[in-house]
Amino acid sequence: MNPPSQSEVLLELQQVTVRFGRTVALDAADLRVGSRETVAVLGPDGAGKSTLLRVMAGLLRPSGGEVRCQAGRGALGYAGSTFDLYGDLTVEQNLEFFGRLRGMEHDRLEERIAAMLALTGLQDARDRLAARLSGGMKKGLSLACALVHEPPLLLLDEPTVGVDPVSKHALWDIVMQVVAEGTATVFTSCYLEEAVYASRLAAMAGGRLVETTVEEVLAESEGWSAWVQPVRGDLTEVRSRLARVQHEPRVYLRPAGLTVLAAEEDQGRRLLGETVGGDWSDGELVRSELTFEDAFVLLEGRSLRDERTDPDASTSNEAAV
Amino acid sequence: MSASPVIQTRGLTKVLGGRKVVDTLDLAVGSGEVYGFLGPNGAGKTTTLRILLGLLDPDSGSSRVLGLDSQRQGAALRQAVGYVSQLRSLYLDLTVEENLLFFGRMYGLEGNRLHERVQAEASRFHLDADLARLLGSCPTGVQRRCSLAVALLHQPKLLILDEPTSGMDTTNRRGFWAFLGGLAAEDTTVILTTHHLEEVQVCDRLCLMLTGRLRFEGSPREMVESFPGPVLLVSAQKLRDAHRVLKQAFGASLVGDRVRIQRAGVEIGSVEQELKRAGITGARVQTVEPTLEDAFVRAAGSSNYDQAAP
Repeated sequence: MNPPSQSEVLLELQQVTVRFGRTVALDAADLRVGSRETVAVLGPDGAGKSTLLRVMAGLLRPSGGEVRCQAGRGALGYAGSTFDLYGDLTVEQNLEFFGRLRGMEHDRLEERIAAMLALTGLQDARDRLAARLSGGMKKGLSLACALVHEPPLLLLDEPTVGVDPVSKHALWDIVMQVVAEGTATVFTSCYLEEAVYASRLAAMAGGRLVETTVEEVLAESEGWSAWVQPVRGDLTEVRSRLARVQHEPRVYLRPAGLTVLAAEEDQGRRLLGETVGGDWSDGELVRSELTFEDAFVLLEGRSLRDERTDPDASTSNEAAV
Repeated sequence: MSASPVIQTRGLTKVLGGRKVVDTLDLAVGSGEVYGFLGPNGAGKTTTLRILLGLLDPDSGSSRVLGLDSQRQGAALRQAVGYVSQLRSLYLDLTVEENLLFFGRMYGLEGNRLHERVQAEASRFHLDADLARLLGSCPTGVQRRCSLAVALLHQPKLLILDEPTSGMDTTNRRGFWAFLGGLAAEDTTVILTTHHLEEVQVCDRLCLMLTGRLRFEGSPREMVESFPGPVLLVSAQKLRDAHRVLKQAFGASLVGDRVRIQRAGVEIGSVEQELKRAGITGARVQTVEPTLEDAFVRAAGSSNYDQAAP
């Protein structure tokens, strides 16, 4: 849908399928990543995001299809979603280890280690054991280790999971700096608002991948609103009502109050009545803006409903989003 | 809150690696409360939870949980509490059902009662279709739900959750907070840590921990009110450029498709001036009410907390 036009293609997936036993984790995925591009891979748990990245990184052999990497796999930088560095090595020793693994020589390595420590603000922690770092610092170190050999393409699986809001912004600042310097980046995220850091979006569901854009996701939800019923004082009542809507992501609690996603006010009242109970559907509803997460929830919900009514929907890639 | 708190600590202090990770902490959490434990990575949240559970001894101070002394009656206490740690402590090479049965037996459940409880929690967490799968081959979301189901098998009066929604997708996160509401209605006390600040509306009270100390305690609304002043939102065609300029000048962040200036007391005029000086035209600046995340960033910025420091 959005092929990299002028730029050189660094990595290309053609009809790549990965099976684990009977489970199809990745289903005939096509994706091209060009130099200087940023691609966000979004989707719910179990959609196949991590599998996609592991195939791209060469950590997983596809069951079918082809992965072409212009730069050579050894040249890529990859940081997994869980902490996979050496906890019993220091920050600096980890960087040195991963640098040497990539065949870096003494002077160049020393220079790069210094640059990475400066980039991630880990200078003062260089002699600390990696296992003793806080969550945000571990993520920073994983990023530094993936970048130490200056890869043309960086693959980040859930780079900000478990990171506090302040450190999260700091991490994105680092990634954006790397992107600005010309490193192509592919990242997965279950926090949809992070899509804004990417120039292209790959939406995944059930192992299938569809390319889209922030604008397209938002356009799909045009005409929908978030209707908010202010909740004041004691939360006990609204909380026990909310317990009934575990299957309905269109109803949730926002800072401003109980929120329902619907096109029209009447429809919102009906949904509130069906889920949290009749008396809540009578109160004041204030129309407010959808978040990007809301838009995605609507898109996901729609495709689920489509699949239920149309058993042949699997022939259409669009239904996967 | 009932008369005798479910959790009570007095002057709790723990030094690790020469640093006060928990610093004279006084906590009191009542029965049926949902209590959110907030703070940056490294603030001492997990250490505190481990002391409460008797997994780690404090250097000074005391802690009582469900009427038991954390240090002297730790084993009995852990039988009575449901705890979900950040580390997945389940067996990845067992199936979902085998994990539930194993931990159920560890909690002293057996026979029909064990199978009833396993079935009830499997169905509450929508695990029925995954019961026969090896946990290690399940997606993160399923593993997370399985940890929660395990923690609730013995119907504890206190549930302690360390970052329960970390790595969950939007739908599962919303479902989780809804489920939590139901637990509170059943009079189960819940303590949790999270970085998803916009979701902690479900909490009765929050505390904000910075470098081992309580920086704030109160309701979500009170937390926002204690760091007052509007937040500025900037939209611009050249969003990245605007972000770079405003980050330099006011420590602004890119949030969604806007640049967000969370620092209190920044004037719209001075923002416009900075943008103009950088040659960025057509930007729109508006004021919005601060959110919990803004309050968090303000609190963290106002203390000695430095995200790069240990």
